Amino acid sequence: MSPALGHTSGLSLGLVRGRRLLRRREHPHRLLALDLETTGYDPANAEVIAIGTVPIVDGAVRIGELTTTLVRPAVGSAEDGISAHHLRPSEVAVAPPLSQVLPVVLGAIATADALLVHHAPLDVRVLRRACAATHCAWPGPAIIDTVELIGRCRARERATGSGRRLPRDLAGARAAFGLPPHHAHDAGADAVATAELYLALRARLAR
Amino acid sequence: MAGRDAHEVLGPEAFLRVLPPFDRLADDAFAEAAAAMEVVYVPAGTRVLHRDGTPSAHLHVVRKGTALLSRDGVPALSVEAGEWFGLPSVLEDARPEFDVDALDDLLVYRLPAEVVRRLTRSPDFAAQVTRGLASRLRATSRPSDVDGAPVAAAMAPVTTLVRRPLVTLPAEADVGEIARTMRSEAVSSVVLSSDPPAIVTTRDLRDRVLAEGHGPATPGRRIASSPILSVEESTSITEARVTMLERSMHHLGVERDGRLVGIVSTGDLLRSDASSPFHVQRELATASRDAFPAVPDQLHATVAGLLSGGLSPLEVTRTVSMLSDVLVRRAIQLATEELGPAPCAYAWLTLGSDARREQTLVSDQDHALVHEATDDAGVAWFHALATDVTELLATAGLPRCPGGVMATNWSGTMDTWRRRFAGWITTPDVQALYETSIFFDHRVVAGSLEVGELDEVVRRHRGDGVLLARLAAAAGTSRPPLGLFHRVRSTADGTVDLKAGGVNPIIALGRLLAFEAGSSVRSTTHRLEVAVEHGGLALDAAEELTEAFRFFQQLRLEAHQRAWRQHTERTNRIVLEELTPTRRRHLKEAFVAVGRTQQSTIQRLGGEEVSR
Repeated sequence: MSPALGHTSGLSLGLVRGRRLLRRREHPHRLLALDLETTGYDPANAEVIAIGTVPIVDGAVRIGELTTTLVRPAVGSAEDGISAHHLRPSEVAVAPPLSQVLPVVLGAIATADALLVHHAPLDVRVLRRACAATHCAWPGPAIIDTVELIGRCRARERATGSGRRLPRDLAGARAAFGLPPHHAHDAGADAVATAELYLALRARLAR
Repeated sequence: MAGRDAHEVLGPEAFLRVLPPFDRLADDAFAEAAAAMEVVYVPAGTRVLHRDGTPSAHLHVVRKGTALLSRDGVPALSVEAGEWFGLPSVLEDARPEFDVDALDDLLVYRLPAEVVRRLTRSPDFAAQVTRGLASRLRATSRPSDVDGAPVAAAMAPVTTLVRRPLVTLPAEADVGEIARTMRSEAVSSVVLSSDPPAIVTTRDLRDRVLAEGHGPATPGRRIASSPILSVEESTSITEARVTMLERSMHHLGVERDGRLVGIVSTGDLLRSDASSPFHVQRELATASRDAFPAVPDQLHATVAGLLSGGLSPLEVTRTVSMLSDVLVRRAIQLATEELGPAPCAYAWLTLGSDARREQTLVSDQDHALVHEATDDAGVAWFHALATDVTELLATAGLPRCPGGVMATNWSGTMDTWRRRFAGWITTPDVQALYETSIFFDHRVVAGSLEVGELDEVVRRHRGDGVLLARLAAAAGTSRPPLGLFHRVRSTADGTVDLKAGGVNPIIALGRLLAFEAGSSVRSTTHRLEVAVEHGGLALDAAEELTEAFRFFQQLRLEAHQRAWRQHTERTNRIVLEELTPTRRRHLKEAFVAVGRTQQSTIQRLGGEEVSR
């Protein structure tokens, strides 16, 4: 049950275009996997300190187009969150502010058929708040959440009574698929990790 | 996750960077590769490349999972994490030579063909890439080879060492003429065209002519050797080497369609491979006492060379046994130099795996002495010999037998030994069965005493159904570690004992079936062949057991080598998780095959009744 389907403003779209869009959402041609590193898990207060993105085009993760950008938080403190990400406050202090980084990221999101995030509600809320703060327009992309896909796998496994429960966390789910361990809390590595997990989930759900 | 890679956290780019030959690339070349790299996920059962289909658009580096290369449905090679496929097709822009299927889900890092072609302009990279591939593909042509062990020059046919036509002389040539021909042709042997052909070597001129006081007019045929020990030209260099070592020959004929076409000398073989067992053999044969502590290193280096040369594990263990014979003979020689000559004729017996020529480098000493009747002083002499030799062998890295099966404890006249054998055969207890399993497998390594009688004692009882049933029960004491649904059972630490669960059951079956057939051959694979001829074992079962045996021995030898390199304890236990998925599958199948034949054989011979 993709929340994105609710956005379709059917009247303004031609039927053909609507169908194509629908098909694209089911089988997106171009996805953008995104991971945010934030200063906390409360979407109302968390500050973005790093953004990692990597496109998936026709089922292939484009490693060459991987981007990892550090962001200078608006509130200069928040050192706890920063240290959790193995970033030094000094590194973040010289990074560009969100107002510079965000338009580039939003541009990338706009060119994708869908945005791919692991546990989307948090990151999307943080991004939308960032848009509001920097007066950028949220492009309203279709959203694919790997956590939601894991939920579908679990529901299926429950129905067939098979196997071990697929964990919902990124590292745990990857391990369950036999995917190699990755550097957690590195926005770029997490984006690639999410992209690979998505491909694995998609293959399993297609069975 | 006990796998080696599990501890290394590497993203796609970092993984490729440390993977040979990509680690050889200059930074800018690698950056170009990384920029073009893509990650794809291939569900199990997908055909990635089609044989004779369109050329591969990518080089596929497998990060996770197993891909299978096959031709006409015949599996040729499995490609696992850190290996790649599609390279020849990419380099030549040619149709793939194999079908490639995903055996399980694959995580693949792929590089576009044009990028890979650009990379191969780096000579370092190109050399690495092509060599790795060629040797792996060659390995696939040897179906008996386990998982495509790297095959190097040692697998080249022996005919590649034949660099000149045969130097021949008429059958009636005399020794002077032979010597002049050797000088003018710069060869160390001449073939006389008699029927069958005969060979004269420089060593013969020394030992059989000069040392015997004969002159140049001596007829060549009087000192020539015939027939000439020969192998077919397709025989591998390594096999040829083993043949020569075993017979202590310095020249070997090479035949094409049964006709002699060339002669290969030990010198040729030495030049072909500097890390050859010939060196070690020669050094062991003349080693001083001080040199014994260095023996383990020499032996491990030799075994490493043979294994990486692609020699079959059974040939490696044969070589180890042969080198250990040389070592024992040298130890006896050194001991005798101090003790003085033996008081009477004797035979130094090696027992167990060494007697079967199946020795690994993790073997205890197992030996015994048979001597003619002698007085107390004579008995003391043999005890002193046994003590000194045991000590020397321990210095050379062969631990004393914890069960005390050594010539220091097990010595005696032929009469004593006959009584012992008869006693073990007729006494129905566990200890006696244990002794038969050790002493039935014996081989004379040194000394001139004939001990064939001992086999006769055993053979006389071959019709004894009760004994056969007891031996059959004994052959069931160690079983393959299989659980429900044929799953391989590992211990709490995730290990499996290859010797107890794999090798020993096969050896016991071989011994049992050879006894039933009244044969005194020693090697396990020969025993299985004999059992087939005698009707005790089906041909397919024998083939399965032989392949299983080869596989277990390969894994053991590799594990021992690894432990030796890492200075850890050498054991016969392997960690299941550290095996590649293909090998784990092989292991399971091998255990299942052993269990099946073990069960049916024990049943057939009534072993089940006895053990109840």
